[in-house]
Amino acid sequence: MKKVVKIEGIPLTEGHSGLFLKVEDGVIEEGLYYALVPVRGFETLLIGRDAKSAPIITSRICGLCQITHSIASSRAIEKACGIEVPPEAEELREVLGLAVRVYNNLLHQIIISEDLFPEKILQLDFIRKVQRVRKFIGEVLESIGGEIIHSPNVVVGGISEPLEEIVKERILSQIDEVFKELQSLYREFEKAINQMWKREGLPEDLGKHDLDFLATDKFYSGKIEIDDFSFLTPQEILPEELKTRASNLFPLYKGKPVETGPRARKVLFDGYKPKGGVKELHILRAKENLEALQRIKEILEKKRFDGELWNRESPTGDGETLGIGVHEAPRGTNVHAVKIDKRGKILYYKIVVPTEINLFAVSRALKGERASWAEFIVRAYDPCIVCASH
Amino acid sequence: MFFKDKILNDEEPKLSIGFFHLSSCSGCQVAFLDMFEAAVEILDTVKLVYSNMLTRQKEIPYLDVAFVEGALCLEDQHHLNLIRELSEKSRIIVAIGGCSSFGGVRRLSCGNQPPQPQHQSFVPITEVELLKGKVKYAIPGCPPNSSLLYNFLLALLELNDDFLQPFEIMALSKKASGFDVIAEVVNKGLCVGCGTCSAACPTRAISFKIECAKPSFNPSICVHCGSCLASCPQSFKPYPQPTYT
Repeated sequence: MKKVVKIEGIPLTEGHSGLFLKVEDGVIEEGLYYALVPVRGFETLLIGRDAKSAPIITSRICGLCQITHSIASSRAIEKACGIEVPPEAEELREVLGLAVRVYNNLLHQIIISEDLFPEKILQLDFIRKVQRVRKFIGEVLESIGGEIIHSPNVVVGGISEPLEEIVKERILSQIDEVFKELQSLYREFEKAINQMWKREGLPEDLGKHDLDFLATDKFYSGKIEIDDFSFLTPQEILPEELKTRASNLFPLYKGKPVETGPRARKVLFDGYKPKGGVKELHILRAKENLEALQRIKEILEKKRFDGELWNRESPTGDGETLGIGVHEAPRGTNVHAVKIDKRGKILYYKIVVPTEINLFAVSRALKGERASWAEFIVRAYDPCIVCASH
Repeated sequence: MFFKDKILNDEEPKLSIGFFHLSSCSGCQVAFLDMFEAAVEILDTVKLVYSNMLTRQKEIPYLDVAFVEGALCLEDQHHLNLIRELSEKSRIIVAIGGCSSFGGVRRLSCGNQPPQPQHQSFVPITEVELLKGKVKYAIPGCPPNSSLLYNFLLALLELNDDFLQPFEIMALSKKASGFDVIAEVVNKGLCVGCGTCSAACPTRAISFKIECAKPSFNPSICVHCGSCLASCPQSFKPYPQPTYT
């Protein structure tokens, strides 16, 4: 029996999103995933504003992975204006990006904890353990970035405040202990995921798809061309009244839908052979936390960061050069593209966020699975809907 | 206090709270979780009945305190329905964060972005006529400091009116940017040069002129969150203001 199922508001995810499913005998023939939060217009509001204000304002796109937008934005402006950044500042930005990766991946574990632990006591116990690690990561973000959420220290030209040696020593003295805690947390999470799969009777390769992967670097940032992206509008994809209601664009990379995120990074930079399915995605995301924390330790131990980290050159461009800033966000590749004129005002701004890219991957993963499992698949991709319709 | 009867009479005196998300970045809800272990304590003490991020609840139940983050987008039907439902089902509403209290970074939005170019009117919930009287408290900040949120929740549970009074006044105020610090405090001769506003600013838009011990304001990176004026010890005067005729 054929029918159409529409779900609006998916619990245990961020923001207001919807699912359009064509179902035959309980199996999804075609699934579409889209955003329904209003477009806040970050691309248009930045036009005509001072280039220096962009990292502060773009940070407000998202409350979960704030710093990745400030980093991508300031990198884009530096490229457009030819500003050189002190190498130590780039390394501190990498530390901030990795810290927010751990912070955000752990937040996702809290969000889905109701799925993992049906009993309230176990759930609160798990959240308490996760919060202990997040507290440390919050300290790292606060002492380097200035604030935990929406860090003001990431500026065009570097980092506005140096990291004092005494603060760095404090972070390094705790990091080994936190790493052990994170390891035990990883084991607990893996066990809980396995139990959940058994409890709900989910197949091992739930949400398998054959899409290509997109990632630019394992930890920080790589190269990408904005022309490789093309965008489909909701009018071209979604049915009926959703054409006018959905509030995101659907980006294609080199004309094809792709998946980005922890699995893509693992496949493209670690030679990992993907088994497919969303269970693997959960595990790889948790594994990434361990690697990120190790990398933070590696960077902080290597150098001193208490010198000048900010090239205070005023950003001015020629109005033609397209500066592209890329950052490997927790959910995948985050791209900002900007043009700056001679007065240092923004002429053009374009943002491609990872969740936007992944919307197609979610839709593809839904195909051929049971309709009752659709929400599990969506949650596994950790969608951040406010980012997707920025 | 609004739920004193409930605590005295009800069998289950747990305060039911919900988090609602209008046009915002979810950062305020994350700031609530950033109380870290204290957040678990709070989740254990109060009853979290609705939050898209933290509960599986789909229908909005009747609740005591609704924490609303983000500005209302007038072109979005879902937002209008949500606001109508909240005005019926919640006992009080707390506007949490700059966007819902004063407009915040939404004050810069101008619409005209695909695929929804018509989304341009963002109104903070303190200005919505339907919610007049319902929006009892406003917590400024972008995002609000998590220890402030913790203390606010404690004051709400302990019925501490003294602590809550400034938030009540902020729900009626529209003054949120660095210009208002200059107008309300410096230009009225009340500034003592303590530097609290520059320390409170989440974007570092207010710096402190050490030579003359007064704040200086850079409007290009101000996000209208209200932290500066709210934190200023000279801005809040609990006694009635004199009127000049």
